[in-house]
Amino acid sequence: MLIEVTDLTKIYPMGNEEVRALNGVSLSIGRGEYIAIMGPSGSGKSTLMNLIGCLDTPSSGTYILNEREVSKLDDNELAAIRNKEIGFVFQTFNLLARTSALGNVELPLIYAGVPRAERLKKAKAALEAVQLGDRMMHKPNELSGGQRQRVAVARALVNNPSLILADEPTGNLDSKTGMELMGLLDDLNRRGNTIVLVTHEEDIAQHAHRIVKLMDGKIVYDHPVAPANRP
Amino acid sequence: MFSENLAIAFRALWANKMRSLLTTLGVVIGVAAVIAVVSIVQGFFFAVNNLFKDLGSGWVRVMAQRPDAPGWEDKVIHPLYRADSEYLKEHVPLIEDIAPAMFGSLTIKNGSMKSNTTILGTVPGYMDVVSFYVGRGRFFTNIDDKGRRKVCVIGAKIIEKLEIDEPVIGRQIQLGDDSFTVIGVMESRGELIGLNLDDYIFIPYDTARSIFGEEEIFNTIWEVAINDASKMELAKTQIIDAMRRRRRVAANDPDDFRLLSQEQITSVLGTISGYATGVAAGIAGVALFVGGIGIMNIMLVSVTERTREIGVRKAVGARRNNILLQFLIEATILTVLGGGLGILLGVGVGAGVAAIIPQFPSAHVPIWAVVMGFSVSAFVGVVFGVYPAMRAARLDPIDALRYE
Repeated sequence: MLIEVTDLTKIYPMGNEEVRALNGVSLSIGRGEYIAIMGPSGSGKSTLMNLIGCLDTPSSGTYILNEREVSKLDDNELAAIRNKEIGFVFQTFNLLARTSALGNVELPLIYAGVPRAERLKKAKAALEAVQLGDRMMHKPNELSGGQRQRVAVARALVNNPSLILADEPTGNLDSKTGMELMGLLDDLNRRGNTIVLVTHEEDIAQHAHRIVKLMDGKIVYDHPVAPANRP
Repeated sequence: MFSENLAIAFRALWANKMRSLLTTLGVVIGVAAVIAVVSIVQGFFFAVNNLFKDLGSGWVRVMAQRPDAPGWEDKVIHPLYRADSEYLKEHVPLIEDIAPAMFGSLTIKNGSMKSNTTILGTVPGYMDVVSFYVGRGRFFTNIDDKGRRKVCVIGAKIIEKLEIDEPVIGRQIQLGDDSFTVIGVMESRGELIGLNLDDYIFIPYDTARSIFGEEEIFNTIWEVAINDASKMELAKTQIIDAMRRRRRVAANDPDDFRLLSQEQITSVLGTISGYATGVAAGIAGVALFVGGIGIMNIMLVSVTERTREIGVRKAVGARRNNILLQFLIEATILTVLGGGLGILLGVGVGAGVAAIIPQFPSAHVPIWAVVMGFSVSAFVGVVFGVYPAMRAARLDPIDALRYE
């Protein structure tokens, strides 16, 4: 198993009260899986995503990522895990505005300490893999929404992570470019990448091979998607 | 990683050119103030020092003085006599030569032109002792001195003051009531802060004594050349001993004369320039402190503006130290660039001010001031950049990514 989450709980203090954003969630995700996490706002899906993405640590429970217990790590150790194991694709792209597509894709490699020449080679290859080989020196504001999100995908891929975590990746795209992007993710999964997709849109979730639904901090649904249903 | 941080910092500063410039203005002004003051003071220090440099490290001046001690206030100064200088030369082997000089002020005339100047009565050896030579014509000889001839060697300024026509050599001019023949003109030394260094007339010592009276009336000094500059301290001790003996100073009484050498002049000038530099440094310290607070303020703004960027960097794997270093480098580059601008501005202002004041020596910027300008600026950047950089480094990635 790539991800082993057991009895994960996250409690936020809210004034004098406590909010149980996540209430005893257990979940296993295998290598090469394509899974969608769904749920309405307040269901705890963002909290679960933050925990799986190693952006946060749980109040209790364990999280084993790639055979390593990561639920008790400190800030810097989590940063190293994110750098090595996880590629993020965000709803709002989250590219650096003043930096070229190539510079944005290079970023994880810079923090991984990869030497410059190798970095450029890898970043170029990643951009070519998302069909942006001819847009490398363009800054985000010179690219369309779909192209920006593809830059973000290239950035997520460049360091060969164990897991790609896509948080509402089509949320800021029109339906046509959204479909193109999902096609790209489908393709990445076919080539062996593990993808965790967070979405509230049913038709986007149908791209995954397994759907997990959350409600009030608990998993209420966990079933595979029949291949026939996939778009 | 460091070079990436440099590139990031330059890009961020360049994106906000105007703001960066305004932010660093405090540092610019602080550094400029010090560089300007230091360059002016050092220029002055240099010029004065150069003046005495010709005298060399083997030069000592002996002057008569009333002892600076209680009970001596109403005593008469015991003057320096020429005969005593000969005694000193005989009894202190380290002395190469002594040139006694008596001086005072006289009215001088050439036809209808009338003026005032300093008259120095001295000996033929004077030129070699103080390394200051005649430019044209000749200096006087022992024959002129012994014969009490009425010959004079004039400073270049005298030609101008008395409107002496060419050929100057051989002309007769009036010193007081007596007519003197001009036999030489000294090389010109120019001017220093309004003081003309060519405004004097040399006449033979005994001529001066016969016309103006004995040493009691005029001030006398002795210029002394030591033949081995490395034995300066020994020579001074020996001179003091010989002088006390010759002048019969009682064992418990203080010296009734004093010695002056180049190192004392240099050390006095050094003290003065040290004070001036200290005052400038004080002003700069305040400017740099205020400037530093400005830097801190703008860096805090920058951290807030770039919260999302910090979130993205952390999400893809930046550790606290990566972010800390990035903002620290940015603050330091900001202040070092300010320091560089300040140095340029200070050099310009220093040179400008020195040029505007009449007869002021040109400004001189010492290397240590430039090095210090840069290091202090960098220091300000680090000190005032730490807090904003720490704020950035500690941001929570989730909050930072969500920041609008």
